Amino acid sequence: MTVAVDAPTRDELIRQLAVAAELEHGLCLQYLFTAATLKDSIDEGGLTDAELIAVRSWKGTLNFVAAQEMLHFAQVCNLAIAVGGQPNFSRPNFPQRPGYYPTGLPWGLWPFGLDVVELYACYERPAQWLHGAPPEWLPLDRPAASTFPSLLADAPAVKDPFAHLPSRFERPQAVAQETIGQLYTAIALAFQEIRGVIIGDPARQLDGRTMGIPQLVRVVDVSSALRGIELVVEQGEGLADDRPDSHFGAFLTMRQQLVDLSTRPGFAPARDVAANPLSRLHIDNNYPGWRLITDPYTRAVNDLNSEVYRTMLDLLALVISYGDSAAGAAALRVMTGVVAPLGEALTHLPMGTDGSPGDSVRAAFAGPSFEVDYPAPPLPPPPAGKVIVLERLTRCAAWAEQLAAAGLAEASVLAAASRTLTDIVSQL
Amino acid sequence: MTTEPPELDVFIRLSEVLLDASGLSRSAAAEVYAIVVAAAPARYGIDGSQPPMTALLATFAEQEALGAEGLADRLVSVLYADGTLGPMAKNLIITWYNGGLGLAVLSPANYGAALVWPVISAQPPGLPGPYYGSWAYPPPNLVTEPAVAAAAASDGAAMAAPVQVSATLRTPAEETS
Amino acid sequence: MTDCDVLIAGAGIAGALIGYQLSRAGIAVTFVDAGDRAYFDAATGADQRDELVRRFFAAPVKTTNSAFPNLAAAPSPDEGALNAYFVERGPAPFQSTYLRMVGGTTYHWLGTALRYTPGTFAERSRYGRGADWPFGYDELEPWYWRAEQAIGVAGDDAEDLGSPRAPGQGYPMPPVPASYNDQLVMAATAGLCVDGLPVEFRTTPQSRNTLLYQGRPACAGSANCIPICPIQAKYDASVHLKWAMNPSLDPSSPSGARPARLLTGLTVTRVLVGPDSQVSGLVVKAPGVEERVLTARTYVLALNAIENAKVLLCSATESLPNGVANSSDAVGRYLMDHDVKITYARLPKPAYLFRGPLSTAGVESMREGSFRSRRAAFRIELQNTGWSWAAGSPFTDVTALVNQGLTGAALRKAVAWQVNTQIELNGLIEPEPDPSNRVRPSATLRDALGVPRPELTYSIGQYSIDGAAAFWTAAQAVYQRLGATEVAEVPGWQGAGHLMGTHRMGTDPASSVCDGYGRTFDHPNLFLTGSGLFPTVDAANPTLTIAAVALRTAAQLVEAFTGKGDAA
Repeated sequence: MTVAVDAPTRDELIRQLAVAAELEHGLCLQYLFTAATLKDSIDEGGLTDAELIAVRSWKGTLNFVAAQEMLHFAQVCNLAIAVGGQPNFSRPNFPQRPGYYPTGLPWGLWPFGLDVVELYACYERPAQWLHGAPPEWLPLDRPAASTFPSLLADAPAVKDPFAHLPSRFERPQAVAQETIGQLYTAIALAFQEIRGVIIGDPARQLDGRTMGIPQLVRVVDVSSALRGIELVVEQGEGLADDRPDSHFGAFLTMRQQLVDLSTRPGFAPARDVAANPLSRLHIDNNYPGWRLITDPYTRAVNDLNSEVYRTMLDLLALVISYGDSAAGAAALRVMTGVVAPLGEALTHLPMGTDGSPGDSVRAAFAGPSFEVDYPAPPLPPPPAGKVIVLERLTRCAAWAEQLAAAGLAEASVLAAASRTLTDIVSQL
Repeated sequence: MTTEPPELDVFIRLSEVLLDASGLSRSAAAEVYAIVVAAAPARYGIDGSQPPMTALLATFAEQEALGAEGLADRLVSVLYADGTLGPMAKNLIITWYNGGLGLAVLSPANYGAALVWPVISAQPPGLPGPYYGSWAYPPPNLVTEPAVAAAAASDGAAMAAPVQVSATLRTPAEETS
Repeated sequence: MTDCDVLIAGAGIAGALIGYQLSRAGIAVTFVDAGDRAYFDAATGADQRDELVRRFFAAPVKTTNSAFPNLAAAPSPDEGALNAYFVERGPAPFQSTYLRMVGGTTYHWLGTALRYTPGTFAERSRYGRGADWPFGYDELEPWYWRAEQAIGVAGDDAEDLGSPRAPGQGYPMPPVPASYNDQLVMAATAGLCVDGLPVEFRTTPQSRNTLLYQGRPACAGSANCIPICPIQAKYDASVHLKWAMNPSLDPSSPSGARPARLLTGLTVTRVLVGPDSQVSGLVVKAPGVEERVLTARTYVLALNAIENAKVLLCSATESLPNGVANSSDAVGRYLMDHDVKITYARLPKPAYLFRGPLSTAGVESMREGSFRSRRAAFRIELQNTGWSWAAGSPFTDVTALVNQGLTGAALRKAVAWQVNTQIELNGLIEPEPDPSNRVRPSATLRDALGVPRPELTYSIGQYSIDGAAAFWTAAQAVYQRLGATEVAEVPGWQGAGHLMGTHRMGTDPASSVCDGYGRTFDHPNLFLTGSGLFPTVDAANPTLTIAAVALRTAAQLVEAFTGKGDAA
């Protein structure tokens, strides 16, 4: 038997799928953050009633694209399980340097704006242009971080800690593919080329119907794997002749509407939210662009939301890794009933002032930072794993109630979150 | 849009007490004010010397001056005993909730100010959103059974009889498909 | 020299689909519509519904037509003032409305996109009722599939709703998520049978985006399908009008596509017939302007079941005393609607209503069976909007509770509970075609343009009454499973907005108006389309069948003009 050393390997495929999971997971959170910064009502100012309809529809589109990223994340989990890997729920904290992933694009949590919509179009751009040409504002040649100056305005001059390395050193990066489309192309190729690639237990494949994502493909052979990959690529960048119905197409439309509406002076669709707010710095926050929340109440609410978000990931682990369908239903309720409203509430809460230079002109409000702690040991299997999750949800319910009792801004949202968490615990 | 009446601040405070609400929209308040005034009788009192809205706000101001403690209960008992001011207070509440009263409605800009939608954990129909699939899950704000409703249910169905929809109320959208 | 190859009167769903298919095939199409303007820019494809949405916000009474202009020159019936346009002759009122505007009534439709059951196409031979269609379910099945793609239906391929799907021909989009309310009812009614029929609540196939589709966004739960979806996540005919008028907007447009023309603000008042029995033109009228005649090689009347029949009957001449296409005397007769029974009850726990599409589930398992020889079939539509239709919720709840003296937090809690514990099940009852149910042009009453208003004679037969009784039995069984209280039925009937039957197709020119392609027996170059063609209907909403039949007609027309088959 001969082994081709250059051929794709299972290890490489598993790692590519782990990167794909991080990208889908992280993009989902970016879209959710940006959606949460859009205004809901003309009482917030900066909007006419006609503009409000457009702004609320953008919010719906961003949330829908985020939901499809969740589907893609689940699809990547099924692909990973099929080749003998494990789902990857980990990801770095925001922000990361543009070179963290080989996309070369800013990686962070940004309030809605023209740069951000263009950034998202860049993330979702097609791997190749078969018909037509890319719009002229879309940087095609390895989009540089400098294309998005406003997003990195808060970052100091040296942006890449590895920039000083001579080119003979390979820059540290997760995978070699430059676009998400190219990454999936490499993954698809590996599925076709690795002999006997499917070794996972088909019984461990997540059934999307139990999670409200009926399109999810159960990966039991190479052809279902390719179908799953195709689903992800099609929804992201679209088919060559069907671009309007892709994430890329949706961001193109959104950009054009934004450009059109921005001709009215005073049009202000988004709240004054800070980019990359953080309650605290983490071991992987080694790239600037963040801003610490100094208001103690906002920090507490954000910490609570991050804790609930991490618990939601553990609930997903219970369903994806251990087949606990009640945990799947609970994860969806935590997401829609707690993380979403708390995230929105955070965009109404103050960052606080720290007296540093420029403090008075910086963005006033925070947003959900979805912070993760290191180390984050994987959740043990049930019953222990379930006990841990239940304990945490119960604690979060009490925490939310305590914060609500302070009677500060958004107290009713916290009180509702506490009731929802208690209700979820009672049904688990 | 409606021009702001000079007593708008008092009117908003009155609204907040009757509704147990805070942060009411100022521009919606001006429109609610106008709708409540238009629905009230022309004059109030023995000599008819006072516009009813002036009387309503004056009555509120008197109660407010007595202190915040028990203000809502005092105010409601005083207003609801009054054959003119009581119905005005009820119209005020209905207008805030429903975004209109009879054929008078808030302007399109204030369509989203109707309180009934957040109160029932929904959003104003026709404003885009909230997001795909949201309807499959309980809303963030769970609803619990109030003591009052429990009592009403036990003594036999306050709403059991079909309610005749009068022309002055909004009729439900006829289903068409 | 004619103005165009095909002149289509009425830019609603049937006309738009036919015009779109013809324009793709390079045929010169002109649409003529009474609506004063389109709510889109055909040059850029930009949608202009904001104005309609704001009109809805401003409307004091949120009727089905409240988002739309009601034109003096081309009035639309509105349930707030039915008799302002309809001339109701009874004995029962005809309560369904429609929109006379570019895009038609699809602007305010719910979006339900069900196929009819096979038995519906053979109702006479199978159940001894009504009439048979000129073709069977198997013939229409491929067109149903194309219609589902055309109007973007979201559905569950794994669900058998009684209308078999060809293998590998799934819905173009995954199903709309079941509402929380649906899930409660589905769980409570598992295994329920009434009168030997299963009562299965299933997610309704619906023309509502669950993906990005046709350049339109996914449903965001704006809870306003009727009267208007603010983001066009629900299909409306403007999709195909735009593509017909400007093929460059259509991602799948072939190179030979020919842009269609749209003439607005013109009401078709009469159909002119030449001595050779061929239609020679359509007379159109606008306020303050002389009547004029539009000509074409082929004509398609795609107004709707009431307006189509009215125009044909208005076109009577000395040589055609019954009106155009009416040697059978069937034009205007057999007017049908799905008469609706509304029931409601109180749930023991909140169902969290007024969120998402207005209805996302129903019972399709009671639409077919031998009982149809005795009584009407029905479908149950589960509303996501509590007692809105039954009682005007949530506004009436607010008014009632305020009048009970509730204020402040107590009022808030009572409204939240009272509205969220409502459930409403509506029965759409199959009608039996009755020749005495009919539309005629009024002999005396005219609209502002001087066109006769539609005079409607309508009654609800015993067949439907018996079907409604069976529905009420089933609804009560559902309520019992749910532990519901305050179970009640709204007296009387409502309209479903479904206008059907007034120019039925068939195989016998003596008893029907058109052949299976909608071609009139009397005038070879005159086609009729829309649900006026349906000889019978089951309990399902008609729009998908309108689309399927229209696409089948379009293919026939393309073949006639180009000699090439199958335009789809």
